[in-house]
Amino acid sequence: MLFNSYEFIFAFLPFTFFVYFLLLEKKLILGAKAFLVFASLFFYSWWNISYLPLILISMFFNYFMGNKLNKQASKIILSVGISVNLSLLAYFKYSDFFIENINTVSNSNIELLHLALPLAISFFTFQQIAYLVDSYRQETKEYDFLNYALFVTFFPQLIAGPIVHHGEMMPQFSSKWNLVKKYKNIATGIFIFTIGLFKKVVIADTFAVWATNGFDKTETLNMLEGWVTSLSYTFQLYFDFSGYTDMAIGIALLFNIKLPINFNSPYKATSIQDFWRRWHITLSRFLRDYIYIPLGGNRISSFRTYANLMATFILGGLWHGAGWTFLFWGFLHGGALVIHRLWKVFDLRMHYLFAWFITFNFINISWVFFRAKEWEDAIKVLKAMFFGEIITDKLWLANIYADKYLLLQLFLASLLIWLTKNSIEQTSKLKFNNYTLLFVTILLVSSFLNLSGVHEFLYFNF
Amino acid sequence: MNFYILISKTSKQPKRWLKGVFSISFGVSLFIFSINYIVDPYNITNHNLLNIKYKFARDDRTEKLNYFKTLPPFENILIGSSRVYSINPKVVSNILGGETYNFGVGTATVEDHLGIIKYLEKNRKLPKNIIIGIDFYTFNPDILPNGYFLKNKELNFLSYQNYHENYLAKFFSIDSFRASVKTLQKHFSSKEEKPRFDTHGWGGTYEKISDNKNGFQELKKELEESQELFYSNFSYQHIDPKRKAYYQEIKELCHQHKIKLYLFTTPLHPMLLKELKQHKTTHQALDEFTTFLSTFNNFINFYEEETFQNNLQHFHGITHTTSKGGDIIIHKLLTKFR
Repeated sequence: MLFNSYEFIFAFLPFTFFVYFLLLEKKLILGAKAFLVFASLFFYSWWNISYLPLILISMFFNYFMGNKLNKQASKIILSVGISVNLSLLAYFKYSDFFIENINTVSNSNIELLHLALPLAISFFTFQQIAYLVDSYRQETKEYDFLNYALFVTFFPQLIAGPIVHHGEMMPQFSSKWNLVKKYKNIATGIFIFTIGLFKKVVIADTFAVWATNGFDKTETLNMLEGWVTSLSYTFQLYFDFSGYTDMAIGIALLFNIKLPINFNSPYKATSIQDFWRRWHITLSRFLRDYIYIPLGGNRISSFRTYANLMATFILGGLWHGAGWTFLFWGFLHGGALVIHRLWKVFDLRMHYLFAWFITFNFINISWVFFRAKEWEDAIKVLKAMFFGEIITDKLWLANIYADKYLLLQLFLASLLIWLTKNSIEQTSKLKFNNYTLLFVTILLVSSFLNLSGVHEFLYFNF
Repeated sequence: MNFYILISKTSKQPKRWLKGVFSISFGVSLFIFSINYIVDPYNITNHNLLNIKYKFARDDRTEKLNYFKTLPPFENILIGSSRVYSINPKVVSNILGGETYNFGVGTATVEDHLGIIKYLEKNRKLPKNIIIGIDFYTFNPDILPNGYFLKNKELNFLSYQNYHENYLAKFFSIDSFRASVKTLQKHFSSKEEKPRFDTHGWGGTYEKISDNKNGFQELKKELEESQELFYSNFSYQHIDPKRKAYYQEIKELCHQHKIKLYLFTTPLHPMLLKELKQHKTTHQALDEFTTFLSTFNNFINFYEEETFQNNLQHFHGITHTTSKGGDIIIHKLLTKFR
């Protein structure tokens, strides 16, 4: 079930909300939590019920291993736990990639498995690996199973994050203060959900068309089309993923649960390090705490710091998808972070506008590798961007089936990204007055009227 | 920046605010839904609660497709843009025998032509004969496929824009609402409405444009609009290779299913045709267009049919023919290649 679908907005969400609080009003706390777990599993199974056993087995296994580690900090148990989780991820996500490379290198012809990627596997696997590591470090308590099940399956964050940490979720699930209906939370949740819905269905889905057209026709793009294609994807990805996160945060707030923020105006970043503090913040946090720091972080030597940065980001690239383009995307970002670090070491300065310009263009160009289905497609789009034909007549955007209004839309989206406050900043100063009422109403109605073309969120694929 | 969302402590009255948001948003949405459901401009439910005689669907494709689904297969199918509206299916049936459906849809491009044939193939409704009226503008790479084509998941075979419109969405969409309002306007107006298309998809009779000063002014205005709308200020230099490939696909599909394919260029008013031929670049595209179509069997280029072109009685406008003109076109085409 998608957050931007009629069945979710008009049926699943209101039903779950009312039943949950009805059970709480009747003092059936366990029943309410069990219902929320059941509702979350129903939400997950809506796509394909055959994935359900996988998430259940994963949840039971990790709960069991976590409790074992909590009692006895054994490296063997931790290694088994992490290996099982990674094997599951590797089997479903990376086996075909691995076979393809074996075939290429050894000129063999091993058949691909063509496995369907179970939904959200990357997210719930990472969340639970973090739980195991922290249990080993004796940083977890022996949690109640129902709260643990909620931590793993809680539907607002189940499919595409934010990647939550048990330390920030468990106390919220067990707090008695969160068991009553709070209108301020509900109103704030509706406000931020509406912004997210509008970002997704009105803005991101509009750019999706041009981005898809461009990446489908990489052969014939001219220079302007190349730039429009890459910028459309850059904007689509931001509005799509941050829209999804806003919706997730908003929905969780209805249940008095605060999810961590995931975006903080990333395209305003003036360095690559700044970008990763603003983009998919919970993934950056995971990579830092569970890969970069355990590898030694910046504590060993300069060379090791750079190597650790590269390794972390290459793995980050692979986490997004099994392909050389994702790996190269990670490599580019790792490389950029190394350069940024060297820049700081030499204490070099740059005007912030120039720094922003370089950062944004680097991100825009690197997204081309992230989006392209094949390596060749990425090269073709980049070729068009830098060496493509300059067309001055009316055919300038014909290959991507766009017209001059697309340029206006790109301009308006740029203003939204660079000149306005992001949804989180707006929420922190939210006042429940007629102005915000009108604002939310307009956004909500225009989103409802645009729900007709239901598109999946991009991060569902990762 | 805090890692969690900050909730304003000074805000008051969230309950009243929530009531306002829900009542207005859901009220407006429910109103739109109800109007669309009651009017049902695209005949999705077929309830017709208001007993509306003629509904105004803004989209010919949905309107014709919804109706077509309820009918048995036809022996002959006419495909094209609004320029084939004037062709009477009965005239086709008289010559070729069997029943004929006019599947002409407004501002159709080549994507529509192929989309309709693919739809017929998929739904096992392929006819024995397919007749396509081809407009010069449909091979202009600057002209995008019609937006309604792109939104129509049954006709849109292109991978780059695949709308997953669902049943409920039709009742919430702003397009349906516009169509509902227009339908209601017509329904409640005193003027008696006629259906846009009959049971064979025919748009009815089209008369010759008036010979008087007003008629001429209208033609001039249409000529200017045609330049802007269909020929993009004459920036059209070469025909779209992708659309040429679509036509090859149409040819192959017809061959594979043993369907006889007839093609013709939809005639253009001599004023416009003269301009196109004299223009420094567009004439190249025009030559390329007709040369390409000449490679097909059963093809008539009406731009070269001087007896037709020079008779203004055949024109309903700059790019549309009269019903009489339509009869002549189809008679010429079908009797020549039957």
